[in-house]
Amino acid sequence: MMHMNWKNILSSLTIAANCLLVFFLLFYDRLVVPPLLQVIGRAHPLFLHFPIVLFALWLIWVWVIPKQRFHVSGLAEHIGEWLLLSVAFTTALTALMGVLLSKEPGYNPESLSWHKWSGAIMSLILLLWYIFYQRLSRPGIVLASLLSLAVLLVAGHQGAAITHGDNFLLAPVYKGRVKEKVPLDEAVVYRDMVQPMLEGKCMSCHNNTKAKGGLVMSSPELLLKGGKSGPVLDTSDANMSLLLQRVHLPEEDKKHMPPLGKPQLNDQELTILYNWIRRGANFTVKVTELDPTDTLRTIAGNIFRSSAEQENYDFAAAGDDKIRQLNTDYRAVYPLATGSPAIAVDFFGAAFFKSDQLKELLPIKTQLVSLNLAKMPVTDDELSTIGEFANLRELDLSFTKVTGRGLPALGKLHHLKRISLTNTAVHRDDVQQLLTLKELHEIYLWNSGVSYAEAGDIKKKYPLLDIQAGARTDTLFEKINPPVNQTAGVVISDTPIALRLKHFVPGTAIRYTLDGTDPDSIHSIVYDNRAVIDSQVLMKARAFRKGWRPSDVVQYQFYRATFHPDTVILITPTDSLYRGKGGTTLKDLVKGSQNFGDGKWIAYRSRMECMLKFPKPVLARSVTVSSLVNVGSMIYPPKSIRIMGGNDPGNMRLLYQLIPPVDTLPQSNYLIPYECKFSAASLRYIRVIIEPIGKLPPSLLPAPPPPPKIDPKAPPKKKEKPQPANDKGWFFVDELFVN
Amino acid sequence: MSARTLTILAAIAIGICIISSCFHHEKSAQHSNALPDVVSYNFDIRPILSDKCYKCHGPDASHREAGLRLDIADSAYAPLKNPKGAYAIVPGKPGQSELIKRVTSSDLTYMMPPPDAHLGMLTEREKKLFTKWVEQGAKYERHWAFTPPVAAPAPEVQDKTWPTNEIDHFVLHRLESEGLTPNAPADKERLFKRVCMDITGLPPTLDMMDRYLADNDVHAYEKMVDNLLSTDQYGEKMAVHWLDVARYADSYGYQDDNIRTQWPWRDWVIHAFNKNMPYDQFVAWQIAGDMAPNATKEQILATGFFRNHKYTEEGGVVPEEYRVEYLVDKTKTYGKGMLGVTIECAQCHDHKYDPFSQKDYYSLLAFFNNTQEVGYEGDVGVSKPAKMPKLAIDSNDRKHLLAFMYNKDTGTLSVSVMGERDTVRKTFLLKRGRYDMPGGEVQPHALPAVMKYDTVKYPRNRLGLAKWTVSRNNPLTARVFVNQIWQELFGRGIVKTAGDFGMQGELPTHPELLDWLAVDFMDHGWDIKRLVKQIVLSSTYRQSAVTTPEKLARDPDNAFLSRGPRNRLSAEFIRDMVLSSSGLLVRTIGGPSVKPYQPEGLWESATSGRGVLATYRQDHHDSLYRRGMYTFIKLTVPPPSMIMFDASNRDQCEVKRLKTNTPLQALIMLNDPTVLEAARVMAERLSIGHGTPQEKITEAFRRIVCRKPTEKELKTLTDYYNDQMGQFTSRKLDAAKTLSEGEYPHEKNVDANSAAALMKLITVIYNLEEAITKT
Amino acid sequence: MEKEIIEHALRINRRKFLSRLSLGIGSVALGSLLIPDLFKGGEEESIMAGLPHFAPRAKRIIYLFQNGAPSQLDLFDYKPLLQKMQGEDLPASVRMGQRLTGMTADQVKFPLAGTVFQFNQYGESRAWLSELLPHTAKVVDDICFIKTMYTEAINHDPALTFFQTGAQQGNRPSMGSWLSYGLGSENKNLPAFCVLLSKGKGNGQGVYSKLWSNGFLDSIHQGVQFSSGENPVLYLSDPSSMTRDDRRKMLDKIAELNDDSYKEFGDPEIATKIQQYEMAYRMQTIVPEITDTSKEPEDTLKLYGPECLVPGTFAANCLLARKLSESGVRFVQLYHQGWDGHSNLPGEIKGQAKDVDQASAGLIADLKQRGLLDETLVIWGGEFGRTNYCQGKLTKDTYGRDHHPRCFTVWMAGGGVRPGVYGETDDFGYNIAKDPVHVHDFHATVLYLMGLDHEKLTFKHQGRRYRLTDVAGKVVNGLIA
Repeated sequence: MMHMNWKNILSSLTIAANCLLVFFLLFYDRLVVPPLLQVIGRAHPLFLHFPIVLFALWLIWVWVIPKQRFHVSGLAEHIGEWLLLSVAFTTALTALMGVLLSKEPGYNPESLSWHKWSGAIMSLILLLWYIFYQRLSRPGIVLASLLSLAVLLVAGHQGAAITHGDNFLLAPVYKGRVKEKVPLDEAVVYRDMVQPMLEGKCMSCHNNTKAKGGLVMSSPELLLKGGKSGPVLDTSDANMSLLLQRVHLPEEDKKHMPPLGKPQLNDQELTILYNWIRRGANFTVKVTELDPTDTLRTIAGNIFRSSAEQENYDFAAAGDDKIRQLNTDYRAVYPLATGSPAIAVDFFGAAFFKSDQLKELLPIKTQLVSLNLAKMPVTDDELSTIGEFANLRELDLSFTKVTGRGLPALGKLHHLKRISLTNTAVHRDDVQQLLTLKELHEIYLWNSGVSYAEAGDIKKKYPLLDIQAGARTDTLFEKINPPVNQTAGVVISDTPIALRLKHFVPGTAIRYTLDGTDPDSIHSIVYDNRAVIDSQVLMKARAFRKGWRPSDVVQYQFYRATFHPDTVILITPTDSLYRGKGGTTLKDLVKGSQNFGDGKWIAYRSRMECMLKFPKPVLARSVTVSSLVNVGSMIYPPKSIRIMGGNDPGNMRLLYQLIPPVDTLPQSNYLIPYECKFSAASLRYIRVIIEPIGKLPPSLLPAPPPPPKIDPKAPPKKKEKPQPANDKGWFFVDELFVN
Repeated sequence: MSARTLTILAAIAIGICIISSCFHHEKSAQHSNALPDVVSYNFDIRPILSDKCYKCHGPDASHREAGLRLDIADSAYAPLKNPKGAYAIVPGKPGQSELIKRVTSSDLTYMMPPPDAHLGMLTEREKKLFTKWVEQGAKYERHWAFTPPVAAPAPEVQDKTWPTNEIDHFVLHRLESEGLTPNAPADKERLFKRVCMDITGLPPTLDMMDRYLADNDVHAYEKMVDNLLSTDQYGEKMAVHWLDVARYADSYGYQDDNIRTQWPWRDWVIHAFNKNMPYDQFVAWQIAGDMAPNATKEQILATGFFRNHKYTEEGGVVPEEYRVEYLVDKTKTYGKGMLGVTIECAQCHDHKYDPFSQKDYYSLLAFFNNTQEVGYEGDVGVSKPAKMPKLAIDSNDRKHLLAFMYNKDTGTLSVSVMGERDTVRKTFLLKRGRYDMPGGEVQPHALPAVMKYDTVKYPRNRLGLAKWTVSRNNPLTARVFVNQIWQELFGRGIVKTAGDFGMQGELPTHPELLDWLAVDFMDHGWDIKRLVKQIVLSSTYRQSAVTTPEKLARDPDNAFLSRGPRNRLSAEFIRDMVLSSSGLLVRTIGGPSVKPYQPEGLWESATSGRGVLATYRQDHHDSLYRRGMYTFIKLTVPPPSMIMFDASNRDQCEVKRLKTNTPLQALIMLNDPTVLEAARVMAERLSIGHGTPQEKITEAFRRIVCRKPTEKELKTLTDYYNDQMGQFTSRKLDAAKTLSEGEYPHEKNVDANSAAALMKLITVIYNLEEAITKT
Repeated sequence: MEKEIIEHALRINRRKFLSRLSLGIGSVALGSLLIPDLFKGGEEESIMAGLPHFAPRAKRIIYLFQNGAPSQLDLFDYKPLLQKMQGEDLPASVRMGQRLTGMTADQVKFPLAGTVFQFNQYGESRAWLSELLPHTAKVVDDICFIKTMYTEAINHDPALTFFQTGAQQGNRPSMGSWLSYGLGSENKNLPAFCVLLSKGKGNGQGVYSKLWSNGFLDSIHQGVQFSSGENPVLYLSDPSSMTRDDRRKMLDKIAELNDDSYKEFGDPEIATKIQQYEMAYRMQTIVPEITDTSKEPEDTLKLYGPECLVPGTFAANCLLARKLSESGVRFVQLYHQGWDGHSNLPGEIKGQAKDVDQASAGLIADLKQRGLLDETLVIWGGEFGRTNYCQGKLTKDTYGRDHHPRCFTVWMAGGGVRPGVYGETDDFGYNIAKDPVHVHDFHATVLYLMGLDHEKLTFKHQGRRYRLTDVAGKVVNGLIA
């Protein structure tokens, strides 16, 4: 009775399979199929033939073969039962596989669900049928077999539709239209935006066969013709044509279209319809012909994908795990977008590149569409691997070690659209073989073995090809930038300071002068790092470089401070806003910057008077008042500077009086030393008296006041309460140098 | 034979069955999947409503869809406009409730929330919850946080031995119900570091550790806690959190970002914590100290709290625009920091989730609207260290009234504080929150949804607001603060969203515990030190931080507290740890903020070139070694080493810092001169001391990690030390160059090689994860 | 029927039946393994996969922010009428009581000031450009000029903050942080969001770190400040006394010890810490490679101008930006100060334009010849525009212009934008005549080009879902190729 047991096992398994099936269907939407089972799932289309054939056999066995011949009692029965059981079993398995397969993307959900359910029902029917086999009377069997036959047909048909396209079976009999997505730049407003909606929501009634209300929408002509109640597309009509009126009527209204209960137009469809008609119901206008800001254009932007993204990849996704494994710190592997099967790979960190890292990508060679190897030490050897990536669209080999030798390996990349060979050793002839690739329309050859001229005639031969030979810079004749002063400090007190000039462009010559003249390329001193400054001078420097025009001249004022007072007493108080560090500000040898708010300056608007006291008499020849002019901020040269000196504060004589030139140019903004030279005198005390410019003539008064942000440190000019003091100009000083 | 096959098969099947089912049980437990017997509105339903529905069917009248409001029972039960005759909710009848129909529907045009709201669908469980709730009568409850806390008795627990105080009863109760068991207590050394860092923000010194380890008294721990609470560093530690709340900074912010003098207020905060000022007084003073009858300078100083926000000195602004902006900031800070509600959401429209109308918002804002403050006092050119109204503090005050203040001569200081106008300024509701679109007038009035504002008891000014805030019946104030303290100690509040106790905030993990703590806190005179002590003494706090994969899976962020807290130190305390372990720390309290080492050019590259903060003038000597909280904060360029460790940028009130883990943090610990200098100084000191290398390594390790190294650790470190020693003696590495870090004077007659080797070793220790972690 | 089932059940003996049943259950259990979230509900749509929502046009962004607001009237927006009406008062009908800054609010007259600079038309789009931008003129065919940007803020700080974070006030995440959050970093060894600062000679307004703050996002999304020069990233350089092997050795020890405490505590933070130290090490290796400009060929100098080797200049930052971008940094944000021409504008803007023009154009040309322009979006513009009337005294050769939020010009290039001129302003250059683009729309469009839906890119903070575009913004299709 062996077969008896086997039957048990088989039937148990069938039950199990069916339980599993039901279970899967219950939690269908949360089912996740691991790769391994995917394989099994994909066997579905193959496996499904077993149940069909077996079922056929069974039918024949039961209905065709005459049983009388079998003398062993029940044997016929057994064979029948066996057949039926195996049908039930294989069906269940097929159904299971189907479920697994159905989880893979790219199936039309509607026909899928039909197929799924019919298949499942088939399996269950057969199970029940088998269980109650013995119990079933002959008519029962007839019924059962007919039923299963019917279901089988349905399931089979749906299945065919899924694999071979909609309506595969009957397609020859009546022709159905298959639509694929249109790229934005081909889309026609009527054909691709309006018509589909009419087909979907109106033409079930308004078609050639039904023609409700005499209206047929199947063709523009008929649509224009309108129906019983007149033309539906009369754009001259005040309320924008009957069609719009009808769709906009309240739903309860009898005349509302589509009628209550039928699928209604959604907002977007309504907007499309409205705008299309408002624009005169043009049947031919293309989306791209519309104004970029046009509502229809905007909507279209969301409906159609521009040809750039159009690319519908026909291969399956690689699976997240695979992608995750391939990602390393130096190799980014990622899908182009959520849900896209296409994969892009970027390599980073030349130091870490190994050619195996390319081979590791072979498992995803189907999905790989964009590969970026810029700057990687890729050689011709690796190109053979790259040649394997048959679906590659974009390939970046710029700054790699590839030469023409390896390029033939890329001949198989028939989808290649864009390749960069920037800064590689490829030549005209090497490139030639790539140009035959049909899809290729961008090629980058800057700094490669291909010259501008050669690039030119390639362009002539292949006008459609976008060939990038790089920006021509060899013809430009620019001005080099000036040198930078990095000298530590500008005040020479006891020891000379080393002159530090720098130019950031290697191999650029710096020349400078100390006599106030502009440096030239012949006579002026060539800078080297031994140069020093030991006196109060104005240094002018300039950069020269082959192939460039000389730079602008830059200048720096250096100051000398021979004698150091031990105190500086401010006799008249500074302005409250700029106290600095009081008297010490003037002797601390710290130069202020043009940002006169930096605390290194003191300022006056009325007479400044201060006393320098030396530990012992000094033999002085000059006093330099280091100051600043910033007309925008009402800071001017002073009216006068007087230097008095002597060995007794009580009795001092005037040594020098300076009347600086007036400067009122609005843009003036510079540091300036006022040097007061006088015949050498032994002095213990020096008194400096400075008269600021004082009241400014209205012409100099900014009116209306310049905005505070221009002159941050000038006092607020509150219009509401005018302060008389405010029209006085400023005088700023940061150091007094005695030599 | 077949029988066997069958049984085997069956066995396998059942096996799988069991495995898979338990493996699911784990998941489900994590999502505490089983529906509760009684669905609670507050804990089960409202969070969903609030998250998924209130956006369009909430308190905000202006954005309400279909006139349906789901946050109030009456309107939720009322008949719908359309479809006619339908009801959103029919208590007891899910089948007839439109709400249930729609959330369970999968029809894109019918379902709720609508797909285009990008709110996501309800999970299966949520749908079930809703249905069950409606079945059970769809009962609404008042939001838990807006009902005054009531102290429930500590619940009974099975394990009687574990709890130390009430806190543990609540925690253990929850643990037992979750089927979790608490960890064993942490070892003495680690616990000690933990509590030192939590109370003083400083690691224990060697001799503290020795004393504590030697002390075997059962109360040893408690004694230490008392000592710690009595140190001045306690106030500093506590202040840091409050400075975040008060968005304290040393500059005005906005583009020119000139210097300001608010640090006297900061010093007051430290002082207040140290003398353990009761929290209700602490808050009341900061809200309205200036208005208290014959207010002292200290009370006035306290109100600096509301003047810490940014002030623009950009030329040409519209003053009123900014005056309003400042009021908005004050209101937000008050709401978030003291009441834990996101009141600011009601500035432009009624609150979308909480029962705060736009009118409520401006009525609250009205309390602050009456200060003498103006929107614009002129640009950076005339910038002053404080903006009116100001408090002048002369050296005399510092001797007597404000003796707590740092009193090196800083001349007469002026601090921005609060001060009322003599005439009342009218407040108007601002449409869309725009300063130039005033609507109807409003009167000062605190949030009715939180607690009635009894105008008989409370005057309609800040004094009244202060009273209202600290009233025994205010449901929020105590809860919010207790929660903040809890968060500071455990790294996660009982309410995770410490700044939002409203509808959208997370629910407390231990509601009863929170309430118990709040009530107990108020019953004992808002005593902060007591509160802290209470918590750190609990067995919950004392658990070891070890975690197992199981616990990690069950409770990733330790919400149920089945293990001790394990958190990275906050930015300031990382610096403090480095300085104090190396013995560099200068323990001066308060005073003007200091400018320690900082990478060059940061201020310069970002400045407008105006104001005294255009260039960074680094300090020297003692100022280089002050605690992190005294580092100068220039709002537009906050100290990078602080920001990278998630310090608040003080731009706005912040009650909870992020905790991130980035490579830049690694770079700081490896290359920040502060760390390198600390390593060097410690190394030099150790190297001139006596003892074997092992002993020195052990000491360095103890100073930094606050425990003795294990054998293995010691070996690893010693190997490294020897290796480095070799490198330096063989001149492969340059000892002198290595030691040339920082401005701190070098020790005399140091052996360069061993010092350098030690320095490298110490750098390694500073870079251990445990070094900057409370473990 | 039911009766029969029972009978049948009894017919086959009990053990068998059970075995079959258990087998059934077993199979279910087996199946349940395939349904990871069997007992979970369908989780809320997970918005962040670090992947674009749809196929992106651009992979990376370089934003050349012109801080202080360049005068569109002296650079891009040619208005001969202003020259004709030089000095005449701005008609109230045009001004329509628009609010003014405190700097001109009390001005009695608003004398129109035509530009002193020559304008010419260039490229296929015949776009107008002033003589101040000779280099930009060469790359016009790659540029999309948005003539009709507008904003609400009238002062620098709020306007700048608005442009960078989508809100005038408050500590919101910056645009770059949003992108870092939305798309993650392309190159794992570099931050996704880098910031470069430079200053012109003109009147500066300062920048603030809140502009590149991560706001409430994880601080891994914070902008990392880079600088051209020795120390490109804060704390990146090891002490000079240290060698790479030496550092490596130290890191190995640290890892070894950290690993022990991971074993002891099982805290995932420790594992992360170990990884972060590794990434720090990799940054130390890779960043100097990238920031080293010494190997740049001579024609780089010719493209960007020789200043591009002087650390801290705008040109140097443009060059560095290219190097970072081509190494996979998602968002490189430059800020260049000095455009705030309230007075002596002609004088100041000359210098500013000189600093900026060549390098900006050079960047485009360079990206183009490297084949990177298609996937890199370059943005150039300030926080608002400048008035058509003069601030302060109008003389024949100089004038100042105040802030003007109602219309100004921003340009974009590469990354899927449609070259040409978008939008029109009125003849006074004061109001928008056609196709306004609000800051929110600008943000929405930029996100779109990067493959992100600005309504889906949200982050839940304190109970509210925040967006870069707040509650407004629409993608401007007219800007997209």
